[in-house]
Amino acid sequence: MAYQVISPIMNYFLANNMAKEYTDIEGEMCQFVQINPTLNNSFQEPIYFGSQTMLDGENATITGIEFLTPTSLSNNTEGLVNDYSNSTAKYGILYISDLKRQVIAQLPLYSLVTQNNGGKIKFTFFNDQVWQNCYIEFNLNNFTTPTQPLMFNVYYVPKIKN
Amino acid sequence: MNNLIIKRSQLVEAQFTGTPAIGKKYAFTQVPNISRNNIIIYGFEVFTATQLVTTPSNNTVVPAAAVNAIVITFVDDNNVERIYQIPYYALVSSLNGGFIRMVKPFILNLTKSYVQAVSVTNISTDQVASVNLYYSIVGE
Repeated sequence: MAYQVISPIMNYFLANNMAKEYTDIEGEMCQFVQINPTLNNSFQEPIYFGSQTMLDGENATITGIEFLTPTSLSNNTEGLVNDYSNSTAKYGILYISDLKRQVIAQLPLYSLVTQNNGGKIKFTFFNDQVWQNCYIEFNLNNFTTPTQPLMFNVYYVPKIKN
Repeated sequence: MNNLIIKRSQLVEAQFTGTPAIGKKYAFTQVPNISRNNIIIYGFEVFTATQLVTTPSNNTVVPAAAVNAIVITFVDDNNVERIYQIPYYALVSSLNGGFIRMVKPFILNLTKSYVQAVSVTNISTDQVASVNLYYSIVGE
């Protein structure tokens, strides 16, 4: 039988959902989400996600988020081209908000691209989010073809209800 | 090997106001929500313009060439310099295999935390060091 020695501080991190093995599963389920920018989106103009109740904190814990560039997904299933690579990602920030629209987290899109992180997904532990209150802001208007959606993978664990 | 899980995060920035000088302490811009010694940070990540061109405050982030020219000091609620002059490079996730730097959780005194330049060759006036703090709220 193999034993693993875990330091008290690392045990604290693991027990309080502050860290986990980087090869661990991202979540039980995964939802592909896309969002369309508008042509004139400019500095600090939020682009809100559509309602996805299954991703709300009431129904799920979001355990990982990935921003998909053309390297990992060239088109969506409707055939629309993924136009947004790192050159766009470095201008964007994803905001996770709760029911009162208080910001839970600010996540620069570049750091959500797995290829930029040695293949590692950014782990999260969001329990209070309301998905339609979450949004993206860009610091520059890059959207000459705003019909092309921005694409994400959201990993989550459904909450069991009675 | 473990990696950090983000529970809450907040982008903060320290601006190199005036002509950047070596060794000078540049304080973080205050964020009222988290400047009352009311957050416990357990990890952080920094960005150069490669990862984030401008901050939500519309300030230009320092260029990639300055990644080895900045150090950061985080002060806790007892005014102890808990993280003293940690190199900026060590905190850029994408330059470190995607790992986020974790620390023993402590209550952050953002007001007293600061950044310093060790070389100003690649840093311009009013550029900012951008830091994403990963934290939980005291008592949460």
